Amino acid sequence: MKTIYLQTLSLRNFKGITDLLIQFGQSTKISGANESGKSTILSAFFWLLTGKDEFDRKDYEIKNTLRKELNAQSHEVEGVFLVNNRELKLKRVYMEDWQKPKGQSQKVFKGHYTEYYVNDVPVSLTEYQADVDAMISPSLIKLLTNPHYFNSLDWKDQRRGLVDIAGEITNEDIFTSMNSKVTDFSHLREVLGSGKYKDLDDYKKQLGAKKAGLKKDSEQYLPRIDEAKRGLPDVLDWDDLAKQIKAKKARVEDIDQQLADYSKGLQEKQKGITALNNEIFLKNTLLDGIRSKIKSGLLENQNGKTSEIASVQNQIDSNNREVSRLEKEITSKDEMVERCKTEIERLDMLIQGNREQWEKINAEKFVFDENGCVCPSCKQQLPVDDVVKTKAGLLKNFNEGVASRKADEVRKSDRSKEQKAQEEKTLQSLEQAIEDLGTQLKVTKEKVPALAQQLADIKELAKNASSIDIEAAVTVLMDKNGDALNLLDEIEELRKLVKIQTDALGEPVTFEKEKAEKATLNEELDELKEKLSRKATIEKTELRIAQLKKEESATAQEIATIEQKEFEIEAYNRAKMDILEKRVNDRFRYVSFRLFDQQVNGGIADTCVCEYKDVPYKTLNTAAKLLAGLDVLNTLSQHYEIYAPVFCDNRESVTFIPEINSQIISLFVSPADTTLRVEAA
Amino acid sequence: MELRVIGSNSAGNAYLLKGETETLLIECGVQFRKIKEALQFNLQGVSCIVTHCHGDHAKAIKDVLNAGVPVYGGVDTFKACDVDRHHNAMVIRAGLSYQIGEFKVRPFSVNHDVPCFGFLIHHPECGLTLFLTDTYYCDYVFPGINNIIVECNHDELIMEGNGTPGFLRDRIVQSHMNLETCKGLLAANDLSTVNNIVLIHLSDSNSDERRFVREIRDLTGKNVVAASAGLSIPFNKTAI
Repeated sequence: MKTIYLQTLSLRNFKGITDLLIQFGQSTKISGANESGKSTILSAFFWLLTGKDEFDRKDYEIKNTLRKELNAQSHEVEGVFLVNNRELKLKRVYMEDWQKPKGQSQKVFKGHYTEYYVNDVPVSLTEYQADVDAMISPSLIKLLTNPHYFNSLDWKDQRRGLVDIAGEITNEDIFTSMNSKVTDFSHLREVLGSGKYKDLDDYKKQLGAKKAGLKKDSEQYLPRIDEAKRGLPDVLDWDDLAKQIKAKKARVEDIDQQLADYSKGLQEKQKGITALNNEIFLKNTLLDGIRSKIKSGLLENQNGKTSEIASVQNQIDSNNREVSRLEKEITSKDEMVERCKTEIERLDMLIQGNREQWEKINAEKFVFDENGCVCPSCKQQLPVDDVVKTKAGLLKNFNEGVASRKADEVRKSDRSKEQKAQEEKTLQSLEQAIEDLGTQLKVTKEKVPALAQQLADIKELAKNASSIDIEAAVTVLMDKNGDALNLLDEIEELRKLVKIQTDALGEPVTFEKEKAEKATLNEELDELKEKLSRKATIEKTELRIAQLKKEESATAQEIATIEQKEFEIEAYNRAKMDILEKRVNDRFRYVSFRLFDQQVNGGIADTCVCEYKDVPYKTLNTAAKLLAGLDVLNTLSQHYEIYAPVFCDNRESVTFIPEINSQIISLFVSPADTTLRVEAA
Repeated sequence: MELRVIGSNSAGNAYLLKGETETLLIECGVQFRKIKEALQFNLQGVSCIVTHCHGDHAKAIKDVLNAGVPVYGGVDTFKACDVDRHHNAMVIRAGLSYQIGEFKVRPFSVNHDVPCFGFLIHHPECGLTLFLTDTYYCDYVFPGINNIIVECNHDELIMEGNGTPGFLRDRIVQSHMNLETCKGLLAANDLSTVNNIVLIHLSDSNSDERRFVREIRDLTGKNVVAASAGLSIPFNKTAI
């Protein structure tokens, strides 16, 4: 057990308090009007230990807001504690940080820093914190100094704390406290023993999931069975149906037998007739052979005319083609003749030109101008000798020139004459060819009328041939055909025989009535069989329904089995809760805790409600809240084995507080005390 | 055989006749979960009979049917509960006998404000058992019964004394059996073979359990118990 006792607390320049030293007793009463600094004492205490105020705000509003000129100085809180009668002096100093940057004369505000002292020795934050922790763990400070703190926590955190206090509850504790008519908990023991699941909640969740799946499965049976039932045909008198079917079948068989017997007898009697009929058939076949032979002869004849027409037509066509070919050729030859003649005329004109040219050259005379005989360089008259020489020379030249030019013309004309002769030869041969072609054309043309006549004749013939009725012709020819006539006679004879024998058989029985009856019976049978087949459908469907019902029951049983496990878990949890509640509530003098809620659906849910005289903490009045809070705090102190100074704010509204082992510091609002009044006992 | 009472008042009625291998659930007017608990979560070999359609007798009928448990009841009861087409709903008619496993059940009509049955139940273990509820009187006598489960809902004197509103009072009087009628019924029958008399459906506000039990015991000299949820008693032809 550790006792933490606050001896003194001194505040310097902390929040609104400039300088205050408080000496505490086992029970201390601090009175003051509003804004006289009562809450500041509380803040200072928490800040000293944690660096935060009672609302967990770090270094919050420590500085003076009214007299800001004081804020450049240090803000200090120093507390002297007796921890199991050993003194521990803690001091926390909060400073503004002013620095003079290089080259500037003015200091500049850089933020804050904190200094820590333990027993007047400056230490680092880490060391300071370690010393505080050694005295009391930071998680317990509020729990053990503020009576309202526990009840302000989230219920789940409260619950955890209480379960912690109650200590471990073993399965054996729980099982011994349980008894149930519904189950012996063997399954749950097994599950808990197996360690297969993280915890019971985990197991419960798995069961829940499985159950949800099964429930979903179970929902399908109703619609499925309904559907099967809808498909059920009406139940009929199956035995009666079977009897009816049997009777009708028997009757049908009778009729069939009757028909079979009759046709068998008939067959016997008809054997001879059949043989005769076969013979008739054979002879008819032969007759048909003769007929088709005659017919094909006639048809062949008709087909011959057609090919003759075609060949004459061919001849006419080729003759016509020959005529037009010859005409074409003659025309082209005529054109060639024209061309030859034009060429000859052109050549004649050329020759005529040559002739005239020659005559012109030939008529030229040599002329000599003796005066004209001058030196070409000095323009003097040449000497006579020279003139004669020159004259002779020039004459020679002249005559040579004439001769050669005349020869030229002669040569040209000769070439033209040669060409002309060639053309004339061509002309001649062309004219000969034209003449020949003309003859040919004439001959060919002369063939045309004869051929046309021939074609007309043949066509006439053919027309006559096709207009014959082949069938009639065949009949005529058949009537003249000896073989055919013989066959016909034979067939006639045979037919007479057949008729005689058939007449001997008498009128054939048709069994119309029986056949009609059989048809009706078969229709009725189909209907009856269809009805009977419903029996199988019903049996199948009923089997299906039975199977589905079986599955339905099995699924329901599976769900029930899971529910049994859930029931065990719930009973277990409830027993555990009962034990827990009892153990927890045994630790408190005034309050009791409700740790689970009974739910409408029969389940239980975790909760944590602190009650005083069955009234939940939240709705208690101020005095009762403090009483309850102190009761809880005292129990927690005992559990954690630490008694720490307890601050009771608004103590003026409470007349009675329970005895507790911790040091109590009560804050009273008293309007008369404008400055704080401290009374330590 | 064992009789288990799951619920027995206007909030909900359900009773189990639990044999060695099979169980008859009489009424299902409580949460199905409660029925399953009483069955120790075993649905095998369970059948159910229902007297009429009111919620305190047939609340869980759909759940019971869907769990594959056959329910036997009147056609009007099924129609009113909207389960007349359910594949596990078995219609039974007054005056006929039905074999349900080893139980033989014979429904008869009684006087309630809706069509309602009483039951004569026979089983080799419990013999012939009369089950009668929600009727203001019964005009039959039953020879050779071994056990009686009967409504003893209210006492007119108590009702007059406690200010039950008129309309409710009228309804109760016309549809439930009071102590005097119950006594009259017991007096009219030959009880020489009866083992247990179980009083059911006692009204919360208009009855006095201890007095009813005492008066009936004084009248009959039998083992008389008042049914309450959780009650379980041996239920055989004889006490031995």
